[in-house]
Amino acid sequence: MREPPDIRELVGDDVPAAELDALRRADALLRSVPAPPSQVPPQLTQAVATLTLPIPFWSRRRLAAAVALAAALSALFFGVGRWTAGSDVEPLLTVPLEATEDAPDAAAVIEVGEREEKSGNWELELEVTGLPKLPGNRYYGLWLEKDGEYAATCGTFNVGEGTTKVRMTVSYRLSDYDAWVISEHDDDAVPHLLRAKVRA
Amino acid sequence: MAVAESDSQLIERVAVGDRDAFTELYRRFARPVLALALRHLGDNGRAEDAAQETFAAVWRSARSFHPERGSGSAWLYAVARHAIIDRARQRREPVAEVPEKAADDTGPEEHAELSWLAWRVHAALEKLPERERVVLELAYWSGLSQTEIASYLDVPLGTVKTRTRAGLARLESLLEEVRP
Repeated sequence: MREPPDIRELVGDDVPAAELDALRRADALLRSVPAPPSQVPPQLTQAVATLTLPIPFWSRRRLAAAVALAAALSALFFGVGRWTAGSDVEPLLTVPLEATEDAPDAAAVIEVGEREEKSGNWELELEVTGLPKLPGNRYYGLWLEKDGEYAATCGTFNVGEGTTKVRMTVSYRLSDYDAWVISEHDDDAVPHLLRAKVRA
Repeated sequence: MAVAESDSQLIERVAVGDRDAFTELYRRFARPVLALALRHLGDNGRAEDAAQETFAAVWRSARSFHPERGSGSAWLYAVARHAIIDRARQRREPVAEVPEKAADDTGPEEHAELSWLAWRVHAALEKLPERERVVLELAYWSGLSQTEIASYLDVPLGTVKTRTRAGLARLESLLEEVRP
């Protein structure tokens, strides 16, 4: 590709020397770096534009209400030794999580199954709604907290439209921990989105 | 004439959920982010993914920006760098090193200096009036002569020179602290 012409040719011969010196500095910078992309792909602009779109209020409320109802039914059935429909986990305990101010429209319930004698593992089923779908390879994590700090991970998950159910297995003694926490899984400190006290 | 908001001011507005500020930030930095990602990831698809992740992180984490610790542009550079490295790690392929910082313009690696310098120049270009930016990009990276640029833009040759002069002057002012 042809090199750009000399600065004098670019700006004309009638530029005062002092100004020309300043223009030369910018000229040198432009010559020293590669070209930027000629344009930003429209699909990228569209994808980024959706990042800031709020979830419709009515649907968040409706989904949150559905999860709250499921939690109530689950607790009721647990009391008489029954199962919630479609759940494969024998619930020993149903834990509704409380949304924090960082996710005011989210709702979640954890069903904790019996501890399997053979392996010593606990089965969990997490039901969650009202969390935004994360872009790219971002995902959420369910954690156990001890003394205000993350102490153990139970698993990671993504969410889709509506309610998301996730099965997890943990081997920890739950009574060793203080709280269940859902946050975005990230190396940096991120706000808690949902949490509940451990009642093992 | 209205004074354009600084990058830092825009990020602070994004931190409180201002979508207009986010849109303006995207307008200013989409091409610099994409250019950085393309240089280090090599293909368009992955570069676009990294760019999208960069702006997702900006929207989500703008509250972590502290203007007293550095410029908005440097903070965005760090966010983009993290997104690019994350994207590269997904494929478990070696990635061309993305320089960690920004603050040290006299870093040891030539490519590190180039990445930071290119970031600054590309970001500054986005702040120029469209008519000046277009003329500069055509003059420096298209291979067209000024006569060809005048013909392409359908403006007199003198207008091309005037816009080039004005654009270079504005760019020099925006990049005052950067020296090649």
